[in-house]
Amino acid sequence: MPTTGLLKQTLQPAGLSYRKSRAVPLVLAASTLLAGCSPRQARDEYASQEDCKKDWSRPELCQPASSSGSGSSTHTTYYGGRYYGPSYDEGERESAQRSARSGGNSFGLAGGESSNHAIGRSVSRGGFGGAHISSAGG
Amino acid sequence: MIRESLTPRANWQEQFESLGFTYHSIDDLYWDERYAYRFTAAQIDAVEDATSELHQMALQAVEHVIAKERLGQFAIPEPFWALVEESWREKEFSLYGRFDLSWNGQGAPKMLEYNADTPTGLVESSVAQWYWLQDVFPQADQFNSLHEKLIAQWQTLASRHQCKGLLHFACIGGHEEDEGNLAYLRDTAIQAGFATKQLAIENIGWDDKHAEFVDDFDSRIDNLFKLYPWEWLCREAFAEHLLARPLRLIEPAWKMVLSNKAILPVLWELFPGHPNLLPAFFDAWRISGDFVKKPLYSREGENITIYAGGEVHHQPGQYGAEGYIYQAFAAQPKFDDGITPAYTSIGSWIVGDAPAGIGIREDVSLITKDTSRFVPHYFVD
Repeated sequence: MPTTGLLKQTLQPAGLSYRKSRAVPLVLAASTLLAGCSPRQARDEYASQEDCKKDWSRPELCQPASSSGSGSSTHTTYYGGRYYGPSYDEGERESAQRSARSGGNSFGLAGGESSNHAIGRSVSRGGFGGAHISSAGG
Repeated sequence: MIRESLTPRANWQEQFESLGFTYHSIDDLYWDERYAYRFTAAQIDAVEDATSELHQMALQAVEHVIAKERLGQFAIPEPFWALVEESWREKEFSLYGRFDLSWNGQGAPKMLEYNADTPTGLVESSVAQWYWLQDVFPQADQFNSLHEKLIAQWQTLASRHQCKGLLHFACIGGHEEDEGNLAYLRDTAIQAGFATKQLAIENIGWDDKHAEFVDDFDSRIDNLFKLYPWEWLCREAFAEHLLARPLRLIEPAWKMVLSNKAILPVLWELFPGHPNLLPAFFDAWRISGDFVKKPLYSREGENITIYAGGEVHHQPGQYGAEGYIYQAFAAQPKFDDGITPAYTSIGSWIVGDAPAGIGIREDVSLITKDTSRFVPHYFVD
């Protein structure tokens, strides 16, 4: 998600006690406008570093699964030995894998071949939100 | 409390769009800076004190409802009763809520309801009217410390509640107002230090193999802020998966008690005659005089019926199947300048356990709806 950086900060004179916020800086300003204009990012999750390396060839592209998804976080939690592959634009997984391999100089795939060692999931969707078309807020 | 006529700023639409407040003119006229409400500092004190007291009473009411096993009166599905109780006993993290008050600036503000689960109007209250104030009355004050209080409250989620990992934010996809509120809340969480991700609630998946909720990229969801009401969550296809508590939900399950109109008669039982409460009952025959019939679950004024002055005012909608409560009628103050007459209600925000500001809505009718205009405010000593 692109950010526009901090907007101006209007600081109040020192010594005055206000009930209004001292400043209202935003980091996602106009995100609702920009959300549809940029490709979304995806990452694959793996049961082990070895599985991740099989897909992406380069060990430096495989990171222990933690909280470092987006934004800035001061929190890190490791989940049971799982690993994430690199981020790539949604729908561009194969080209991202080819690019990663070409960067390694010696791991070219045969044309059109793609590997997938990401954790197998059995996912169903639509269990929330399907029946309501009006605002959920109030 | 005075309603003043003002000249709108020349560039307000562009300013708000640059701030992400893109739905400022939804239904033609939503944000309305042709007017503003001026308060005195003493009046703001009165609203703040009432809000603080109402919140403390509401927390006592939650304890009472759980201890006395009254969740059935709230139409909460029975499989979720234990979850509500566990959530309350564990003091699960709550971010915010909003009381809706009827008040004309004199006497005691009267509580109409508590939007404790999915309150919106946050961008308007926290951001839009703050920027308006800087431009129009830069030397005046405003009851609006929402932004810094929200960031501080998110920080307590990390420090006091040991919340770690990615914080997902979900709402109904494609609903501009909900997505705007959600994006703003996500912004405050980022500023508090969280890594975040936003998605449509309909894209949440359930991984049966790992017994986990996952996002639209199949990554596990550990912490979810949902701008989506509990009463819908616990009646939908994935509801049963919530019972094993595979993720932290914000707002927490105990908010099901407060975001329900059944809390109104319970409050009146516990604090009869309290100046900030209106008489309210589960049974229509107990109420006398003008009254309002409210569904247990309702938002944006839907299915509310006012019986006042020999007249009936009804707002249609999709709610009411779970039952109703009956609350004494307290007319919102009416302001009429001959151009845009308005009934006014005050939304008073709670962040954590602290009052954090107000937002004012106007409507041509007595029932505040999603189309009701938002009007800024300021106060002077």
